[in-house]
Amino acid sequence: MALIPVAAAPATPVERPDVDFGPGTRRAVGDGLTVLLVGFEDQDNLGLRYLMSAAEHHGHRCRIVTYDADPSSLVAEVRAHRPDLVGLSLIFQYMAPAFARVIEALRADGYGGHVTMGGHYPSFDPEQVLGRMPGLDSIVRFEGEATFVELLAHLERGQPWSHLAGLAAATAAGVVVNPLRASIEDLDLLPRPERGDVAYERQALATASILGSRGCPWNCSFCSIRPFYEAQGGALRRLRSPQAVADEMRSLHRDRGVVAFLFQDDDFMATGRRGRAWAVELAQAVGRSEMRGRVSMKISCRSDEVHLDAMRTLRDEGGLTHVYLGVESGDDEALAHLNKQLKPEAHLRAGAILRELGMSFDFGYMLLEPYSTFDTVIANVDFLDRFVGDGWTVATFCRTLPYAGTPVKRHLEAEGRLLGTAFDPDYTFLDPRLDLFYDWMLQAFRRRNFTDDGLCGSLRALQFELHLHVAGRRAATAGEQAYGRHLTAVANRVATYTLRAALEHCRSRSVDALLEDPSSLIGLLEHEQREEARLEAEVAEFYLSFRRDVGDVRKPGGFERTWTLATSS
Amino acid sequence: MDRLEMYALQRQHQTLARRLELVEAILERSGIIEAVVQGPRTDPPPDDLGRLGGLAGLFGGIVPIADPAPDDVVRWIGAGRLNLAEILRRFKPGDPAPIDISRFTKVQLESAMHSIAAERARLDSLESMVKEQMSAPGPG
Repeated sequence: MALIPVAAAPATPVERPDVDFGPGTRRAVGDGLTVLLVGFEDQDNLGLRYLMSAAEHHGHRCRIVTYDADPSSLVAEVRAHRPDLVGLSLIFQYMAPAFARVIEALRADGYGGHVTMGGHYPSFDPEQVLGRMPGLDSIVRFEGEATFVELLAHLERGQPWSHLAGLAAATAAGVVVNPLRASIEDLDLLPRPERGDVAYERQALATASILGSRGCPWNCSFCSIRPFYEAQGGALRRLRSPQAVADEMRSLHRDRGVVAFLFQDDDFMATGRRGRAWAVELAQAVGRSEMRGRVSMKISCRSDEVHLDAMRTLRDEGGLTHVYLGVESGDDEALAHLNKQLKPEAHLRAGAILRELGMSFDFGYMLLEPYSTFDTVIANVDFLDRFVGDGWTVATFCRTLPYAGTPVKRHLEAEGRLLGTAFDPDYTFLDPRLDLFYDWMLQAFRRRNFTDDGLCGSLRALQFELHLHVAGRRAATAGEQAYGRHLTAVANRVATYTLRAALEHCRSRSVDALLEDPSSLIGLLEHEQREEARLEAEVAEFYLSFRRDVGDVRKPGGFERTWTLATSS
Repeated sequence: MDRLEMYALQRQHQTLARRLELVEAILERSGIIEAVVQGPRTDPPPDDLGRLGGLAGLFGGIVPIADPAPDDVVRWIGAGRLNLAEILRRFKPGDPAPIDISRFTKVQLESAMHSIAAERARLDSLESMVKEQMSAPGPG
């Protein structure tokens, strides 16, 4: 079994002054370099937009282009505009080979400017990424605004840059990984993310992503958020001032017509009384403004951070209508493996509170993790019935993936169980029958769980809109919400039946017997996909009629790339 | 027409096409297809054939008709065009009767169980929805 080399732990952060974003350092855009930023534009891609505004504050002209698997359009863009720097945002680790092809295509076309990259994966594994991507000059590691601006300044002045704090660089002598830069203490000093090119006004439901905080103090084994921010030292979670956030929301609502705000905070309510007090203060700032009753909010948080009084205030003052819960598992043993530090009952309590307040929610759920047994997986399926069997939201599920920087990846490496490649890490389960089950599960539920057109995407969007309260659009009736729940309940119960039947089938047989006669599993797959097709038609029909009835004749907007039945504009 | 509308129409078309195929398959097996297709084909498939088709679908791997319309039964039998007993008598000797489950394979039986479970999930959810509506305050 081949082992993946362990990435070097980040060096001790150096104390460096924050890059100055005050009025005295502002330059006219165009005085500096020309920058092209490339990434996914899902939910506005705030990471890129914060970089864009930081660079533009210092006079560099920036454009954002959406990443496309076919490099030819990017090559044409670069050839036409000849940017001084191309910055790539690598959000998904498995996309690394595709990004390598993009860089190769740029260099083959003769592009001689600087190519840099940022994101979680390259931050944690700069040697691997730079080693496997010839043509890539540097990696801006972890929180990038200050490092990125310093890199641009050095390039503009023609000065050496490979030594900069926070940067990993490909040099003639090999890959150099410099000491890290300390994180920015006061997030209010950062310029607001640049949104001039986002067509909010053309969206049927003008929706903007926004950040109230960065970081998370929890240490879940599957997550790289805490290691990402911990690497640079400083507080594990940094907060913007509630009034600054509300002012940004007001500006977007008043000037751009935004009515729905998606908070991209890793954990909006962390932690304890302080976290709740901050969230309530932010909601009250919204409630004191003209936005009261006219905008909706969505946040992400843990189940044990859902408190009735705080949530009620966020709903009544701030317009909170939707919560993403980090549920991850409904089994005690699995939750311990994931280091969630809570019990399944916390999820049930959170679900009950959100139902009482009439809010929609959705959640992440890892049906399987590296230490799963048939008992824990079946317990996870049973929990789904208890948690969302009533159809309040659609049940989605996947398995834990050992992303770079996560504790689970380190554990698997130490155990000799980490497989795959640096770009595409993998592992097998302790019981080989679970591997067969998981392979079947991926095929059976691929459309449902992992495509925009599948039931998870469409039902999430439907439930969101059925619970939405925004100005200029009638709220869904109780009957419409009930029917939406009915469709979702059927989708959930069909899925849990299929999962349970497959699990029992796999558990009661040997690997050889399963491989010799896959007919029952094939039959289950066909059954699941038949029922999904039937439900998709019903959901589409209802969604369309609901949209027409609320007067929304334009194409679904807001969540379109990840939530709704996607339509191209 | 946007992609959403096109998608919904395509799915409706596919569902209707499958229903027609199923009815034709049953009628062909029963030997009475010629009598039916010669007549005007303006009504949707009748409920009794739909139920038979549904059963055949359960055991034969064909998508069952989801929501048979009771009015169709009245129209078909009332018009005297089809007699349920006549249909059953016309099944040729030696051909497996669609409801003879002893002739079906393990996979077909499993498929039937899956379909039954799915219909049960639908009915349970519908029941919950109706009960919720019944208990909600409002006009009686």
